[in-house]
Amino acid sequence: MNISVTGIGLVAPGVRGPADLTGPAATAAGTQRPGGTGTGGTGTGGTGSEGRGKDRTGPGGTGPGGTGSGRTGTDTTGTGGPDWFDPVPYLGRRGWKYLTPATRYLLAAANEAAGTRHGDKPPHGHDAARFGVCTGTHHSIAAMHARLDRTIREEGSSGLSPAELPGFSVNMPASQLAISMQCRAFSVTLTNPVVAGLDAVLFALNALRRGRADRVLATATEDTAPGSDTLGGAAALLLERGDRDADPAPGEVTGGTSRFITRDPAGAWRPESLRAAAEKVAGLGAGEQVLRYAFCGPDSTASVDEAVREAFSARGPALKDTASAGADARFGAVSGLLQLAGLLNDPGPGLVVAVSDDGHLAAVTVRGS
Amino acid sequence: MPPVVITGLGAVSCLGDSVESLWEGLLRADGTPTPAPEDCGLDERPSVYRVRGPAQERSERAGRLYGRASGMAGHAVGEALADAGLGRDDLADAGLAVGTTLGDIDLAEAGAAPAATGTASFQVASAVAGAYGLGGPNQSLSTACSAGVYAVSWAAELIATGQADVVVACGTDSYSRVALASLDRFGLLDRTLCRPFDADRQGMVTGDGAAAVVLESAEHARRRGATPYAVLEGYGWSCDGHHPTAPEPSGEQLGRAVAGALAEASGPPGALVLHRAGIAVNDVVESDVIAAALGERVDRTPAFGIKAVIGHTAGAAGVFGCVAAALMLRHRTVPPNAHVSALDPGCPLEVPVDGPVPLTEPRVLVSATGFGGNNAALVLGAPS
Repeated sequence: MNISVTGIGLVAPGVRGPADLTGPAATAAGTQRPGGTGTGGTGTGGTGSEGRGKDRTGPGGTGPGGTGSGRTGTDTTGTGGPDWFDPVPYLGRRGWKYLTPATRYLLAAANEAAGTRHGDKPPHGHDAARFGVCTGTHHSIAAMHARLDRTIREEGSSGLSPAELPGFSVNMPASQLAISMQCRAFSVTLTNPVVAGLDAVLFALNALRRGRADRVLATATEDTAPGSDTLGGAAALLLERGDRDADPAPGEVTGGTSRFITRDPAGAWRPESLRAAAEKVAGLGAGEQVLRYAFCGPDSTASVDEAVREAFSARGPALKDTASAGADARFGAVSGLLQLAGLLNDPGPGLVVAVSDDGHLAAVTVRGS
Repeated sequence: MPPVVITGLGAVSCLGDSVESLWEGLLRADGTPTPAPEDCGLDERPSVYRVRGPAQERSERAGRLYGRASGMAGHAVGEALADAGLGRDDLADAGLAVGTTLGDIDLAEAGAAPAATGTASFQVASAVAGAYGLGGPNQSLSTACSAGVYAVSWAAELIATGQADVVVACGTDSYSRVALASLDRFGLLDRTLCRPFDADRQGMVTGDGAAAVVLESAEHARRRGATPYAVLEGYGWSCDGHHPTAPEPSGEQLGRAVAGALAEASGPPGALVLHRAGIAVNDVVESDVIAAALGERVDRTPAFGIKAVIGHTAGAAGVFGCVAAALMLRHRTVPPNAHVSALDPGCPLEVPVDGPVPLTEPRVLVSATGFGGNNAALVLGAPS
């Protein structure tokens, strides 16, 4: 059973489309983890690692500005200032005032992926009962929750606006998307830090393979949060069962895995847990000669990246580094989806591995057309 | 679907810190809530079914602070693993599926969120997996108040597809000032008591708690000589796609989830563990959907509303439903429904109130709904 990627939607600071995900323009969008170790040079007779461990400029710098679809806001720095996203070109002038920022980003990205306009009726042949939604997010309600809590402490519940209150529940971006696009197979939100976007893809992949849906929007969305430098934004992949020969798709999702890497009481990764996770990831490369590779995680996860490279070095295939927005995980759960979209922008097999500081690992393989 | 069985149970509720205390409390049918904390921000403190004692206390490990939801989840998972006879050496490839709506939200509401790590409240899965060395697939799911049933069925998916032999499914949520005030603002709270089958019910009453079940492939359980409580016979999912907080009034989508679960089951259910929380508009939809699915068996299939004695535990509710269902199968008994002065005249289901009744068939249907119209249902059957 092939699972095709038939649409991609990206709405993030400094990222306006697939072209912004790789190459020089992507530098501003966090293509590399600052301070990473850059082991490089792994692989078994293939191209090895390219680009890691050199010129690590990290986040910041200049973004692509308004050079993309023309539907973006005013951000020209790629740093996610408060005005980077203008909902009007995506969502129209009405109907989104009481939706949370993460919900707005998600609706915009999902409609981009599906090739639809927000608020339009579902297209002819739309089977709502076979259309599902999975959304990864970790920070989408933190800012709103803090604001609501302040209001309650100062004014009591009478100070709360019923119109915006549903947003206190972390599943609400996905639920609003399901309402908007008539998705009735399921609407599931996944919340592990950093990896939740890839977890959404894994959930969708499983559901499609098991016949619980025919189409799934695998998505991620984040909002800025108190005490965190995570950026807001969203990404969406439209996944469908079956080959798409008649309507060439950007690619397909071919596999994936999830693991948890434990730490010892002193806080160091347990070697046996790290090794087991890396071996599981390396198993995803079976049958390939060269695998384009993108790692996503904060600085503290560099040794996981090294363990994965070591596992591939021992058993192949060769890894070919592919710099893509999201490597430093500063887009939170969206980071992994940005990297998948980057890999789908070029032909051939690719692998994204996302890891959180607290030990979550998710890996997804794709094949670009 | 390859057979998946439940071999361990764990529970932390206002009835106590064990499955045994939960079952005793369900049979007594006398659990009641207490007033919300003084800093709840509401003039008249609503009632809350709160967990007390060490199982719900915050903790710190390896420099990271964990909140009440993580504490309760850790305790429930520990009980479930011990019950299943699984130790740390067995768990390197075991998975974890956590259902929670707000995670360790108490840390944020106390101003103690671990901002330095950039980690928000959703850290229960890492707290539990780290504590027990669960190194397999690990996901945290939120579908609002149906998250527990989604966690259990997702755990079964991981096993059925060969991604793990053992997966622990856990649901957990703790008291939240924001959640309580929001529900109050929506007018969804019964401020005194959860009485889901009573004609005068006024809404839901929130509750703390965590529940856990150990799922494994039947073959894995057989090889190690484990005695299952139950077989997970089937499950169904659906989404209303209708309204952020109100159910789709026809119940068509919930009906699809229930029908999907029943279609995969080996026979009709002998009891029902309902989502029923005391919110009339939701209760009516659920009861009518399930009555229609049961057909002529409706008047001999006892229904049970667990929230009357432990409150609405949000992301934990569905796992509590599964623990209760597994215990019903083990004891062949359906507990009585609590706090019913006058039975809701619109309820078409059989509702025992005078005492426990026998389980009529060796299967129990568990149903769950949540904000956003997230529906799920599953059927647990007695092991052969």
